[in-house]
Amino acid sequence: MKIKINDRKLKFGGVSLAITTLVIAAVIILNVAFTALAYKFSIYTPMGRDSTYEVTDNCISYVQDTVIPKIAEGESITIYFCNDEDIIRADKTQSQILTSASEIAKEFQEKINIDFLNVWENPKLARKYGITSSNDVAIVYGERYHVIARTDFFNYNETTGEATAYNGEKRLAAGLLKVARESNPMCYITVNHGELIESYELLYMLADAGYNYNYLDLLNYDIPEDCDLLLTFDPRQDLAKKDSVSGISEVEKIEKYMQDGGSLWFFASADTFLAGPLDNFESLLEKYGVKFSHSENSDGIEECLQIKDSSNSTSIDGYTFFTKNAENDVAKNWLSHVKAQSLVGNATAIDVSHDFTKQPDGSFASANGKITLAPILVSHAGAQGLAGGRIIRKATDDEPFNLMTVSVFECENGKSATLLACSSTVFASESTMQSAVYGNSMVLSAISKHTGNEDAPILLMPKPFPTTEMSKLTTKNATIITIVSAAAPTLAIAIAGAVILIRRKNRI
Amino acid sequence: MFAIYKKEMLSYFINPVGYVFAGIFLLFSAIFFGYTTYLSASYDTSTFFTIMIFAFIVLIPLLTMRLFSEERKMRTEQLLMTSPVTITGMVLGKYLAALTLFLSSLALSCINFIPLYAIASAERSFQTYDTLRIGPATNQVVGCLIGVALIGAAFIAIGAFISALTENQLAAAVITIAVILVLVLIGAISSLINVPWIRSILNWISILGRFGNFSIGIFDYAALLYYASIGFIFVFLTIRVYEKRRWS
Repeated sequence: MKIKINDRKLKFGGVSLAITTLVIAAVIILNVAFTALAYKFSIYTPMGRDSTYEVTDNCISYVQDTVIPKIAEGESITIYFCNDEDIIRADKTQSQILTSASEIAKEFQEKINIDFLNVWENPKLARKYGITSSNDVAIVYGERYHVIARTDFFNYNETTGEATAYNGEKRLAAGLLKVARESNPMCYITVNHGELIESYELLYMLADAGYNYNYLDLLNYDIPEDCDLLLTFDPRQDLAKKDSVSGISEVEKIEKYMQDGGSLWFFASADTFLAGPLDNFESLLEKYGVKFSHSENSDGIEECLQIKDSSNSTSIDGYTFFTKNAENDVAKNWLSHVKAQSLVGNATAIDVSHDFTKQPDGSFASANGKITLAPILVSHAGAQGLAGGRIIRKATDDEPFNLMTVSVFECENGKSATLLACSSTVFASESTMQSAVYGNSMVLSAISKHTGNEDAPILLMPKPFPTTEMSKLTTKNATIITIVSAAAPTLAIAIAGAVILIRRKNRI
Repeated sequence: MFAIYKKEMLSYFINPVGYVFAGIFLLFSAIFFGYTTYLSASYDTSTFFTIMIFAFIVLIPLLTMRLFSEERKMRTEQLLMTSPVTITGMVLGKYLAALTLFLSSLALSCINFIPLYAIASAERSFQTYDTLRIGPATNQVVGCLIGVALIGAAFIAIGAFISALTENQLAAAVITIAVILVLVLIGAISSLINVPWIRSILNWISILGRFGNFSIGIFDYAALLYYASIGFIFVFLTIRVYEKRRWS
């Protein structure tokens, strides 16, 4: 029904002004209300299925299965962003992290919520939670808290320092788990044997799996009672054994730890044994079926085998190559979610001790049946094992080179001790562990999950940013493209305009 | 309304205005695009879109300055106001015509992306295993285009309103530039304010602040409503100005 308004007062004057003001006010109120609702309920739609800051279903499932059951009835976890809300939303990076956190909070509204804490106005609270920057994110559950620095949400190129991927959902999920658990597993990293962890990515992976970690000098200290995982990374000096000079035996400490149901991760490479054999380490490992391959070179000196696989290599020399998952039941079960191939480099091979026998399922068992050794990652057929430049042996489908093995030992106290042996330190390097393409990080998370740390996240991966650098375009070609792109359409429009205007003028 | 729309669209093509605007738009967009992508050896288009928003501060007033002020100056305003078309139809017709020219120019400027995707496609054939994505992030590009289109629509509405207030085209252009500049820069000013509620208001008004989600590939409905509201308010105000002028 059309209403005709002829009254001049309604057309102009005070009434018209009032109507105009009301309309504008209504639009502003609508906007304010909708914006507030949009922030509260995350009313937005990611365009494209690979929206970097969107939280995946894997993350939601992980939080649902591992975090939520640990939160007591009536309690909740709060994710604090350490500044005023408007400042956080105005900062591009912080707002993106807020997007991820908001999606998690939206799924578990009763159990996880978001809050904003201006640390400058609340210095006591900031000190209490160990917040050192307004860019930090603090996850708090009662008296337990975990702080994530902004830089920890991203992976970086080790050369240029440029952010290469967003790792937010894994860091947030790991942080939530850390505060939800009453106690977190402890990892001790051995030192004073020349160990050199070049990349922090292995430590980040352990932290994401829920471990707290510390360093341990076995010579001067015993392995603490709370040690859930002992990590030895690329040692260059041997373990101390009791002798006439010293009464301290690091070997005995580790043996006792293992017999009590401990877990040991040992990383080595082809260079680990360059300075000479590590007899005490190797004899300890051999008890669990692990024997790093040695061979005599042409001078009669024992050298570690170095594996080369040119057919599956990412490097020209063939020494950095893809592995494949082993075919035994343990590997198939543990790595069922790991579809991506893992990358190793400068790898040596792990042989199985001679007193272990191969089982029908592909694993190996000790003579007394108490120790099971399962290859986890192996080389492809055709890989070569070299020593001193000579090919010592080649891998076949039935006998590939073992690159990562897990030994499980049934202890007398009923617990299971585990030994993870990895024959490539490049496996845990920054580029391999950060990559969303390689399965390295997922493999270690899976092993952690199946060797006592049930809550380790396997399927949460960093989301790489698009590679923004052009590597093949020369400056000359770039200039030509720019000039052509600028000139061609402009000239076309100008010519079309000139033609039309001139023809029109002539017609007139 | 459609008659006015057709008339305006025709006038863009029988006068140099339409060609000049489209030509300058395409020239600027190609130069900025080339500078921020090819010559910077980068697939990241976010800088290009940010620069384009700043370029709108100058480009859009060129389009809108003559929308209503020319009618007033040529005294053809009386003809429009006494014609059978409603004021709302007249204002909307002119606004939509300007918007159509702007969106057409924006659409044409998308040809700049063709060489970018072609280069990315060529580079992908050389990619190593640890490179997952080479090239521009399409969802971000689409998001930015939507955001830029919405911002342009809002700016055109502002320009149309200011054009309706004066018969001097230059004055209309200058005032429009000033208003749009304030709206664009208000977000930067907010970072200098220590009072939270003032800062919140300024961030809420900030045009660039609202663009943030589009630039990372997220369709922000609150921002869509905000830009549409700016367009609505200024078109509404333009209609009110003409209603008052018609009946006073």
